[in-house]
Amino acid sequence: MPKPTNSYILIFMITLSVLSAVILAFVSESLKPAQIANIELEKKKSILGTFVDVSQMSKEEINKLYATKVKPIVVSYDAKSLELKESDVDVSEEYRKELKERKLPVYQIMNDKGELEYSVLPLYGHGLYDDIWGYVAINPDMKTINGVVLDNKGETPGLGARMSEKQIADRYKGKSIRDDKGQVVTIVMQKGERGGGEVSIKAFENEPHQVDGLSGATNTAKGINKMFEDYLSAYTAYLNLELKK
Amino acid sequence: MSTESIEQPIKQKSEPLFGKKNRKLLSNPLDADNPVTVQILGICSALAVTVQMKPALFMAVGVTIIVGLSSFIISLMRNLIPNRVRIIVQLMVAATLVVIIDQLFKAYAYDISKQLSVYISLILTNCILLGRIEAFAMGNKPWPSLLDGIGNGAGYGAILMITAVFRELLGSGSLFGYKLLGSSYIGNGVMILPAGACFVIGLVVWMQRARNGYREE
Repeated sequence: MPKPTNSYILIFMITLSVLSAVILAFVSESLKPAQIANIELEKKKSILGTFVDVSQMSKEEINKLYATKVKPIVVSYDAKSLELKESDVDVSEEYRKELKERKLPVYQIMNDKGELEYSVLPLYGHGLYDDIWGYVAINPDMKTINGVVLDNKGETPGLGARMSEKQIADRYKGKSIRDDKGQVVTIVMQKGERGGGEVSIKAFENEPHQVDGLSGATNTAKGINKMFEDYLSAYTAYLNLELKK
Repeated sequence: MSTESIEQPIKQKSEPLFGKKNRKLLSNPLDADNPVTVQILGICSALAVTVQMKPALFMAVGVTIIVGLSSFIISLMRNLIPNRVRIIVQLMVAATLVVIIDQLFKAYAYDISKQLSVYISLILTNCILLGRIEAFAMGNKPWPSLLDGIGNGAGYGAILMITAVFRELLGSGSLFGYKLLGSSYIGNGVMILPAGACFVIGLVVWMQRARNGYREE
């Protein structure tokens, strides 16, 4: 082709830009509902995962179980119930606020008789590279952990990213978030790793506030510990209030 | 990008759709002209997404579609693209396709998309993509360009899958997530790390060169 004029180049580029913008806008808008549904399903899975095994459940089963068992509420730092819908509270946004100003969602798990079975509390923090988050289910004694689910966005695969594995989550099972005097304390992941799997759990059997560490992921572990400390103290008033009930 | 020089346009008088030359476009990049093992392109993502078979498969399919389609589209408009802005145009077409694939994965393969995370968007920076567009699609007709793109994407994907077989089997004792080696097997940690991919790809390159009689020039 002969040397194109400047105006030809300009028109060509503008046309191409507009065309691709229109295509992308269309694709993004038409796929949005499916994407949002995926993110919500993921969240439901994590919340349910703290007390049942969701790995083999279908999408429908998860939605159904969530609808029947989970009663989300939102409380303030001093455990006052806030008239807010849980879906309007974004934990990742609240995380950036001061501890006392955060709106704190609690996912109360009810049994068939309408009694409180577990309180599932969200966790949020920062690992080595990016955000980390999780959920922890507390038994009705407001003391022992029934289970946790942890997840991460960008930790090192094979090292820090192992925090999302089930065997790491299992280490938190049965740990106590209250000391002998009944004060809320955090669970601390230790440095180094004793062997993984059952060995790790056994090694800390008699340490109610400690779990085995992640070998080669000290900074991720620090982030996890900060996250637990942060959120357990944020929910202290809620935990104490429920204990009195 | 080591294949910057424009390759000779293939003369097509009445070349059938799957004639010998066109079939070569598809099959050459799988072995003799493999973008990963022969041209040593696209190594970065090959290290990152080959820990398990499933993400590697999705990545392979994604790259094949993107390289094929962007070559096709660029080739369709190759006579309209002003030479001075051709790289921008190539990037724009490729970027649009990459975003579409990324969005599709997010909507219909959410778990995989989470695992591949940023590496889907990074397909755009994959040397194979721009290399094929610049070196082939800009000077050839749409149909051969499509075949060339698909061939190179598949060639890249094949190496991805070979690497992933070894890494998942030795690193986690499973294939496609199914435990094969039993619970007593302790995974090889090196295979989970990107270093493991370096070893595996290195061995694949060695084996292929030994077989094809490659000599460094």
